[in-house]
Amino acid sequence: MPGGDAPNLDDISQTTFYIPYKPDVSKPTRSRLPESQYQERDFTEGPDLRLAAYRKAWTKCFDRLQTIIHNLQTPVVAAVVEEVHRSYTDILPGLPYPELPVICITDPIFGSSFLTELTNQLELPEDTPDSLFSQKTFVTHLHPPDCGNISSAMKSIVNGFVERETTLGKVKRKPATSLANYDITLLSTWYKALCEAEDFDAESRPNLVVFLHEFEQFDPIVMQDVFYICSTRIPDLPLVFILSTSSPTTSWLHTSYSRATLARLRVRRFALPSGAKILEDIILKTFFDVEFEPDVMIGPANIQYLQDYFTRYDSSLDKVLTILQLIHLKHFSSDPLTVLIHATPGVTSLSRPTSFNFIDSLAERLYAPSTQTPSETHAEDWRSITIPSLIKSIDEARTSFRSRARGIRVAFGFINLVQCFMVLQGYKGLGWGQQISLCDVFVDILEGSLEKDIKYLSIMVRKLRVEQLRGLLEEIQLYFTNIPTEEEAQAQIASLQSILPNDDVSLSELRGQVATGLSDWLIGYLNSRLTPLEESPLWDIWYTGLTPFPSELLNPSVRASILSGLLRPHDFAERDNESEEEDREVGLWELPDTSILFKRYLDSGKMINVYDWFESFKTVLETQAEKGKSSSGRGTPKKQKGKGKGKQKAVESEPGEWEGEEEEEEKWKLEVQARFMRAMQELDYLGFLKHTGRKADHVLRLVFDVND
Amino acid sequence: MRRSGLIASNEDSPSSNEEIEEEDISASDDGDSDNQEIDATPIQHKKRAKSTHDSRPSFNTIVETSFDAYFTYNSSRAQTSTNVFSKLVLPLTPEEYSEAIRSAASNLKSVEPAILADGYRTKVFSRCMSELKEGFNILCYGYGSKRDILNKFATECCAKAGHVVVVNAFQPNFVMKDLFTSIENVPGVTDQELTSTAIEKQARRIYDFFAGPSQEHLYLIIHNIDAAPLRNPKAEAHLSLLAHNPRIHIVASIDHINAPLLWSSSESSSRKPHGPITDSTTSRGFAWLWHDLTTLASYDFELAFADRSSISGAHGGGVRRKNDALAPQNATAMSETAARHILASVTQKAQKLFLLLGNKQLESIEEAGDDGASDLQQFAMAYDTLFNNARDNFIATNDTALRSLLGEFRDHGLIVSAQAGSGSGEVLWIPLRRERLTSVLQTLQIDK
Repeated sequence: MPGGDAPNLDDISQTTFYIPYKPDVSKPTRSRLPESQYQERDFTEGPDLRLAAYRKAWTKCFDRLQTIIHNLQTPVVAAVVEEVHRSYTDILPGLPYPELPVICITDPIFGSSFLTELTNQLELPEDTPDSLFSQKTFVTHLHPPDCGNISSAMKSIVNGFVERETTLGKVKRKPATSLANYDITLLSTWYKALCEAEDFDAESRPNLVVFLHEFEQFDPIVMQDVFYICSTRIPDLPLVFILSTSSPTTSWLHTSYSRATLARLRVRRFALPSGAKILEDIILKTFFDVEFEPDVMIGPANIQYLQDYFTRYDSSLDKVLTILQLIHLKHFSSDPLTVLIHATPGVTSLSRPTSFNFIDSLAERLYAPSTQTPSETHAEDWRSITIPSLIKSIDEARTSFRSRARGIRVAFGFINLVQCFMVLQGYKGLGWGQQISLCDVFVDILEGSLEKDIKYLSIMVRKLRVEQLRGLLEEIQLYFTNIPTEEEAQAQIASLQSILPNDDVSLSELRGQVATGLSDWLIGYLNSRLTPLEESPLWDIWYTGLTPFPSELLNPSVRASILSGLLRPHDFAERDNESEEEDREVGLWELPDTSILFKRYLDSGKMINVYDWFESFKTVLETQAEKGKSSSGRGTPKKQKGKGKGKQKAVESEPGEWEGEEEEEEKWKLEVQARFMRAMQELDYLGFLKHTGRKADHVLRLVFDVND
Repeated sequence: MRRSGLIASNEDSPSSNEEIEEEDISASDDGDSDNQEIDATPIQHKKRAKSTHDSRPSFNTIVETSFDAYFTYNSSRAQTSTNVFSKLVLPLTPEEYSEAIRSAASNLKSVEPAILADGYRTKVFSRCMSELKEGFNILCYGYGSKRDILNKFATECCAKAGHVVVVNAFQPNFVMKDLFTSIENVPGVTDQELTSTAIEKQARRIYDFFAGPSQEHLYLIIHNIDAAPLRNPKAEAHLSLLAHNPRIHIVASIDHINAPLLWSSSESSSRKPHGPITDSTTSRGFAWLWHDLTTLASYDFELAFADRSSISGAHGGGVRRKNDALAPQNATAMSETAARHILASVTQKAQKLFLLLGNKQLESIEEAGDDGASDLQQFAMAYDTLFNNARDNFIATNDTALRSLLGEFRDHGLIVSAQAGSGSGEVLWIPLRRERLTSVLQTLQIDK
């Protein structure tokens, strides 16, 4: 074996291969970002610095997202934890038989983050100060595959508790003398022993929580028995079931379980917040919040994609996080310039000869004449560039972008404040969050197409009454006092406030003056703040702009890909002489065997006679052989038209000739058959065929996509 | 009848006037080679003639979708000919098959996709590596066997970053246990206590090992995660547990067109836990990122176990395929070598009997003057005739002796028998086509 430990991966007798870890000593593998398209523009330390920048930016964004999500789900987590602890304290008296406490959680969005949080809260170590309950709980998790039948389900539940590490130590079971491992009595005994060993009284004894993940996938027939068995042991065995469901309808339990089962359960429901509101909230608080400055600002294309994906395909938070992470990853791996996002590398590292390409591309971006305003002096500018000056301009660009982005966030908050005020006063606002999704608003803001809304607001402001004006000014002032950079606005508001008359009835002129002043200022202020981010120099370092999201990473078109691989294999090939090949149509005979067969498949009806399919395949191969022969003069198997009748012709000819020709023909026949078998089995392997017993040697067509 | 072709292909494409939006089936494609010219076969000529008669401009946006096609075809009666492939075409033996494919491969030039070019490949590899590091698992789709390129990825990239286990899940004899046993080759995994040999415990131990203090990473390369052994919910649960571990990275390939249905959206989106891993794993999932890896390569390795003599040989999987692979050689697909092996180990008398039957069969084939591409049973010999012949040649003097001679051949499928329809009793024949039978008989005669 080469190298002693590299297995032969082509060995067909083995199903798995182990390749040991062999770190490359000469070139230790570090984690890197994907290679950039413009790798040549980078400098030596570039990739590492960019990776660090990516990590920093993403961690910052991720932490913020985590906090937002945490805040959204905490109330429900707390409520569920409380419910678990209370399950066996206030039981309704006078019931004919004890009811099994079941907590049903509807969670279409949060998924794993909520479940992790909940489990962590339930399993808090005793000495944690922030635990509200002195009582412990034991949690075991069940997934649908664990509960295929009743004994395996019971076994999972019993083992889930009994095998825990407790003061009892490891439970040793002797198969001959102990109870079966799916017997709930085993659990009862274990629990009793545990309570005695740890000296639990009725108050402090731990509840046993069984967590059923993806409850919709459990078999109701199995689960109703599990519920029955468990309900016979309560309250001695304080079991609590938590069902995690993702269907938004709360009646899953009622539609799939019988009344007899439901009667044994005491169901409590909890629903996590859901809907497009969550996504809006997340984007708002991460990218449009005055108090938080994201390192990378996402562009309208990405916001639209997020919204689309969330509302149409999969509204899970995990996907939102993944999309945002991929946006970051893509941003940092596409352009080497993104290394400048947080800080500029020092003069020393930039003045090395290896950094010249980087400097060049940077200088080009910074000083190249823009098409709109051709500068006459740019040649001089170009000559006067030094690395320190370059660094200075980068730093300036960074500051300018940051303040521009902040301006947008502040302006958004401001408009939102005014429009909310209008709504509260009973006027028609801008409809944000109601008729118009906030995501659309974000897109409009970033694209700078909010003029209409601003105009509308300014007109509305003019019409406000004195006391309304006073209220609005107060709110605006409060909003701006929290933002230290907006002193000018603060002063403006203060001066307007001072003019505003205290008396409500008199001086309508003054009211008009203040209202007009506010309205004019509002237009001017907002227009100065809401400038497109793309106008800032080097904007693409901090802003993803119109870069589309690589959606095929998450939402691929597998089917279309396979179909085009079969129908147009030449499009996947490398194009050397592109201009020539571009428009040339590829004949059917030029395609690989499987593609030929697949084209024939698409031409057929819902059922295919394998023999006829074979014959039609054969005709194409004959064309192929002829074309091949005529183009290269290569000795392809001897073949003439009218293959089927070849035999009769051959019989008439001379015996000697007959032998050779016959043999050649036989070989060709076998080859065609082998190629047909291979191509057909490949199509079968890809899932295009269904074998049917209805007609001898027929297959059913499964794909009806159109060949064009 | 022989040239009937695909009858249904003559049907005109229906419902071109229905107002249906164009279905974008060429999403991942340049789409520049629309309406490909289809090369000359009689059937195609007809079809083209019809469509030109339609004078439907090629840029028309109103196109029949797959839904229309489905309903059109289902509303009509399937019209196919009564030809039966397995009756009309003799199945190939493995030798014939591989010989034919080998000779075909030398004549054909295959299409080399751009993705396999070196420069592009390193880019793809570096991208995959960084995505794996960022906590995603990778799923490769697209037409063509992805085994070679993923193996390259395993040896060139993954082996330098951690332990690698390559899994050929497409093999019919693959079981989940193989995967775990292979992972246990990683030093240290077996040091932890294993309470029972149950597969769940094994999976849990592996999870705990890589979640634990050891800083090692595991790269799992799974060829065809959509293969039958991995389709059942249990196997999937184990895999999703491993896939959720931050230090286990999965790179898998799928080929089946409906493979994405294997995972629910929550499973395929569930992210790996970040930060310290708690002992109890509450969620499982794959965190897939999808990559189009169309290689256009043939599936020869994947289908190495498929029965090339049967039209359903590559279909389905699991139990059925396994049984097929283990079952004795298909009765009609006896190879020359196999026949020689059997003949070499039987008595002289038995060989004589075989010669007798074989020569008779050859004679009747030649009399018929057919090209041999049809059912061999028609050249069979009635048992009574054979018995008379055998007695005349002093091969077997009584029925019992003849039956015992035939027994050996029947057990190995070298002679097959059936009840003749016309009440003439049992008939016997050798399931070898003419030229093969000739060569076997020749060697047998030379040996004597």
